[in-house]
Amino acid sequence: MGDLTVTYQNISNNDSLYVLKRISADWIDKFGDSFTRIKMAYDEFGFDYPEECHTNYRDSWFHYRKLYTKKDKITVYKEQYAMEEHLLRAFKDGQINFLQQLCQCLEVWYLCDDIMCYDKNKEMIYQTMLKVTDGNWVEKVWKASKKNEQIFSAACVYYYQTFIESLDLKNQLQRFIHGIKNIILDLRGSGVNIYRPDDNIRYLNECIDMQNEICNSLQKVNMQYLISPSRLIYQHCRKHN
Amino acid sequence: MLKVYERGEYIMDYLQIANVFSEEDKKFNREMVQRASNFDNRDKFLEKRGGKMRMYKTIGEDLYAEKDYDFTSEILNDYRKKWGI
Repeated sequence: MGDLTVTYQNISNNDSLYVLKRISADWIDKFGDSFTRIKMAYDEFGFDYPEECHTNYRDSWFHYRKLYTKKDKITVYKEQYAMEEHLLRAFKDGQINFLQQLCQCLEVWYLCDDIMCYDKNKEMIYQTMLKVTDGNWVEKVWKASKKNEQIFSAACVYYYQTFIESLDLKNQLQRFIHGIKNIILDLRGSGVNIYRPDDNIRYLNECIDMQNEICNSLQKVNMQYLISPSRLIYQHCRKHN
Repeated sequence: MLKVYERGEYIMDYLQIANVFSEEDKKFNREMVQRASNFDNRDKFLEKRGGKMRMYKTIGEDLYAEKDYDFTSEILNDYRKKWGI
C-alpha cells in the first residue's frame, strides 16, 4: 500500500470513492511513519509509550476496514472521519505523553533543592562512588551502589547539587520546561479550535526539536544521563514535609 | 492532476533524533524508568487528564481485557465476536 506512487491519470473522475479510500490508506501509512519517529524519541529515554495510542491506532484500522467495503459516499465519509479522529488522537496523545514525561524529569532537577535531599552523613560514601565521571557516570554510580536504589539516588542528588547545579542551568531548565508546556498547550488547544495544520508534522517536528535541544544542551554539563532516572531518584530522595 | 502521496518526497526523513545515548545507555534508561514504575509511590507522578489516558502504562496482555473504552467498547465487542480475539 505504502510503496506505490499515487497519481490520478488513470482513474475515472467518477471514481471519487476510490480517491477517498486512497487518502484514508495514506493517512494510516503516514501515521506508521510518524509513530516510528516518536517511538524512537520514547526509546531514547526508555519512556513508556501509552497503550491508548496503540488502541486508537488499532481502532482506526477498524474504521478503514469498514469504509473500504462500503459503496456509498456518506458512509465512507463518516468512517473516514472516525478513522481520522482515532489517528489524530493517537498521534497527539503520543506526543503529549512524551513531552509530559520529559517535562516531569526536568522539573525534578529544576526544583531539586526544594523537593529532594540526601543523607549528608554519607557524603564520603557518595564520593567514593563518583571517582569516574566521564561517559555515562550515572550508570557507573548505579553499578558502584550495587543496584541499591536508595544509595544510588542519594549519590546522584549529591553529585548534581555539588558539581552540576548552577544558576545558568536552572534558568535553562526553566526555559525548557516552559517551552515543553507551551507545546503541550498548543497540542491540546488545536483540538478545541478549528485550526488544523495540513499535517501533524509540525508538532512532531517540535517534539523532536525540543528533545534534541535539551539533550545537546544538557550534554555540556553531562546531565543528560540524569533524565531517565529522575523519577526513581525523586521517589527515594524526596523531602517529607 | 492531484498527487496524493509520493514517498520520494516524504518530509519525515529530515526529522532526526540526536544520537546522545548509546544502545547500552538506552537499556539503562529503560531499566531506570521501569524501576520507578515498580515503586510503590508511583502515584505521585501520575497525572489524570480529561480522558482515560494513563502515563507509565505499557502494553500488556490485559490490552484486550474487560475495560471501559467509552464509545469504542461496542466496536471492540463486535471486533472480538468477529475475530475471536
